[in-house]
Amino acid sequence: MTNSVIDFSSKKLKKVTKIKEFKNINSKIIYYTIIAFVILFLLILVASSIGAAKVPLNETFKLTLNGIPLIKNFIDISNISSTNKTIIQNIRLPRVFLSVLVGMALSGVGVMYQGLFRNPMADPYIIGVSSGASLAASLAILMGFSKGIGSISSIVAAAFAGALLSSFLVFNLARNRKGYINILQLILSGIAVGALLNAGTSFIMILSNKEQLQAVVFWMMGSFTSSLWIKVKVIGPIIILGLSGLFFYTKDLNAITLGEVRAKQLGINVEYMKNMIIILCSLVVAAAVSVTGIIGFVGLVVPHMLRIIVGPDNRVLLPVSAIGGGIVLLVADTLARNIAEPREIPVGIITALIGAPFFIYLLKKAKNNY
Amino acid sequence: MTINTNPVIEVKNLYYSYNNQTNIINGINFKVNEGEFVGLLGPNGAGKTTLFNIISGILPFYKGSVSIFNKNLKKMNYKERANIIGVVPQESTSNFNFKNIDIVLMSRICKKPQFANEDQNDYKIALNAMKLTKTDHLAKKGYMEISGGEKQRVIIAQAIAQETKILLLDEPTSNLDINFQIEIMQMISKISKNSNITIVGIFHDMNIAAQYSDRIILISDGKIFAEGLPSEVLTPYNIKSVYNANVIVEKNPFTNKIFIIPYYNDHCLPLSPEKRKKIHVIAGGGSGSYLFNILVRDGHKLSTCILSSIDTDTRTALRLGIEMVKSDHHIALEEESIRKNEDLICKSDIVVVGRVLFGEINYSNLESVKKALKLKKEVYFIDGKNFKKRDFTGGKASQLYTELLKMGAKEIETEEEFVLFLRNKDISVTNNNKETINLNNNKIFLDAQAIIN
Repeated sequence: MTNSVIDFSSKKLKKVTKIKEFKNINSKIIYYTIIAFVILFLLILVASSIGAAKVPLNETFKLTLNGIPLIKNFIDISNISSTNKTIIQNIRLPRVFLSVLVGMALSGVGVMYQGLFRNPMADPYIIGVSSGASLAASLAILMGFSKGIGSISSIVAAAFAGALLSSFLVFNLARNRKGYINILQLILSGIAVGALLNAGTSFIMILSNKEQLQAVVFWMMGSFTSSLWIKVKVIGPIIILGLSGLFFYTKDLNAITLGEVRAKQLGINVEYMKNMIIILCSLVVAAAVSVTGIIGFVGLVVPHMLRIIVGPDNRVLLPVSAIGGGIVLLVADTLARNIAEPREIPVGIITALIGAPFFIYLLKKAKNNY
Repeated sequence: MTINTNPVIEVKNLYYSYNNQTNIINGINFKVNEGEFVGLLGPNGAGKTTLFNIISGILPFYKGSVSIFNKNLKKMNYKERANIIGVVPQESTSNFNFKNIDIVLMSRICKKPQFANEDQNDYKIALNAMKLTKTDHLAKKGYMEISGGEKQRVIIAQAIAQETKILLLDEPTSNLDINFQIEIMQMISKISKNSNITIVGIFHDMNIAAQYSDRIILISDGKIFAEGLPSEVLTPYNIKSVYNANVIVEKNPFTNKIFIIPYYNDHCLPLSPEKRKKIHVIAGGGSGSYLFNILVRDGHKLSTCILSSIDTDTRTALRLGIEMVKSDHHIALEEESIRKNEDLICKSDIVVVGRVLFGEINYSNLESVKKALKLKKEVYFIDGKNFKKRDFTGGKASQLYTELLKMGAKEIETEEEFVLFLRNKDISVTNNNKETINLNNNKIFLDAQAIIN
């Protein structure tokens, strides 16, 4: 009698798991990345056709596809007016690409920091990048540097330098004599340095006149106005190369979920990995923040949202989140320049307006899923 | 112990401190041979986990040398080391809901080049490891959705999938129910023996350690306190000294291995080492059990006289690890036993006679007291005033008793008073007759009450 009960339950419990049931990780990465990429591509086509100036849809498509090296030869754009050409190719497309790049940077770095800090609350600005960039940018505005280095405006250059300097400072504060980084110290140093630099920014804002103040505030809200190809050309390689570099550490980053000590026991060179991730992330965020100012919530919400769909494996999550961040920021910016036509709303306001409620919804809905 | 004497882990003069002031590891030397199962025991804060963290390379800034397979640990890189040493940590939490199979697969990272992902073979090894720890049915479930015991089994599977020659277990069964404790330990023991894997395990459960270890290393305050076979190391005296726990040690009749039973009367700290004495107790017929108990509790090292193998006191003495002379025959007749008993007296500082009923059979135990007095040992009689009531030799013992008193033996009223007397004894004035015990002292009286309760 008892025997039969035991047999029954053990048969029920012992569901034999077979290897075939598991999806190969490489095909999973490719599968999700391609899906995300196709969506991004379609949205680029749509976004570049929406705007104040009415350009026919088919012309937009042609002009956009004309930018792609191989397909270029098959597209005939000779009968499109030069005004439309300029609107699409010199005003909208750089802006579209810039927003995609910045979105990629922010949510890609969000994934890495959340993994590294073992905390889903981490965002790309956590180690004081934004305050460094703000201080330097507002300083540049106050000084009234109108000429830039080469063709990059002085504000962009200053913001990039400020972002790098502040993260370098925080990074070094959190390193002990042996070269090890304490994550908790990193976060706390980030908060301290951030507070210090923000005080500096506030002080500069008091000193500045009305126009300068407006410029500083507008910069800090984040926006893609005055997007130029040169910005895309400069920050594009930094972001793409930085994210590709980060991808190599995603496998090791997975093991950090069990704690740094366990990761070391599993044979991962944790200290080296931490250094590399923080350096690459700082570069990528500095590049993003320098051209657009501070755009909140993208780096926090997008990795969250996608973790629910693709799972927590950083090898899948990083490329998918990066593209996902590009999509989200592209949509947000398209809204920003269109909903209050002809006025433009800073994109940071849009991301916070949509991002914050959505984030709360996610927290309520999927308590255990991150 | 294994015959193979090829040291796999060799630790020499190891020192480690977290703050450069106090050493957590304070000069440790030991070797572990191939295929051996070594239990590492010691109280909280003794330095066991620190020692593990040093051997597994988490704490690289130590003094001394650690060699793994005759190679300096400091010269190994992360990957190389992880291919030789696997660790099962006390507990592992995850902040992201990875699937359990993915958690187990993380231990395969060290087997691959940086940019290669896991393949079918890795899945096969991971699943087999999960089958060993009975977690394969959880493979697709999230790590954050399973219980603490299941997590521990998943992590054990992770360590097994790492396929290392050395496995360090840090309390591998702390979260498991009794069934899985045994199952997991048996499984680990089996793979250790089958694949010649060397195992060093930290255990708080001494019975598990005694059951599975070939050898036990007992650590206290960053030093090795004792090392050897489980039955040699896990004695009530050692356990009292290191853990301040009162235990009795018995033999498991089914496995012929020792097992340790803690007993819980009032908990008191052992005396400071200079106040601990070597005490020879004259007992018999159950008169000594209580005296043994309260003296052992204070950390004294005891021995006892010739006792018959069927005596209650014999059983108590064996359980408490007290050195004794066991006799299967008529005690009075055995010259050799008497000599052994006198040897024990020689080694002791103090001789105490319990409320023993003296007859012809155990008269030699009383005679041995005379020898003790000749050797200038201190001798105390518990409840000496009523000695005559316990004399069943027709006056012979009482006569000897009077003689012993003249030679310097002293009377003490009760067992508790003797214990308190030893506690308050000032070592500088020990050697004369002027010691008196103030029975009216309220504090001592209350202490005595506490011991009785």
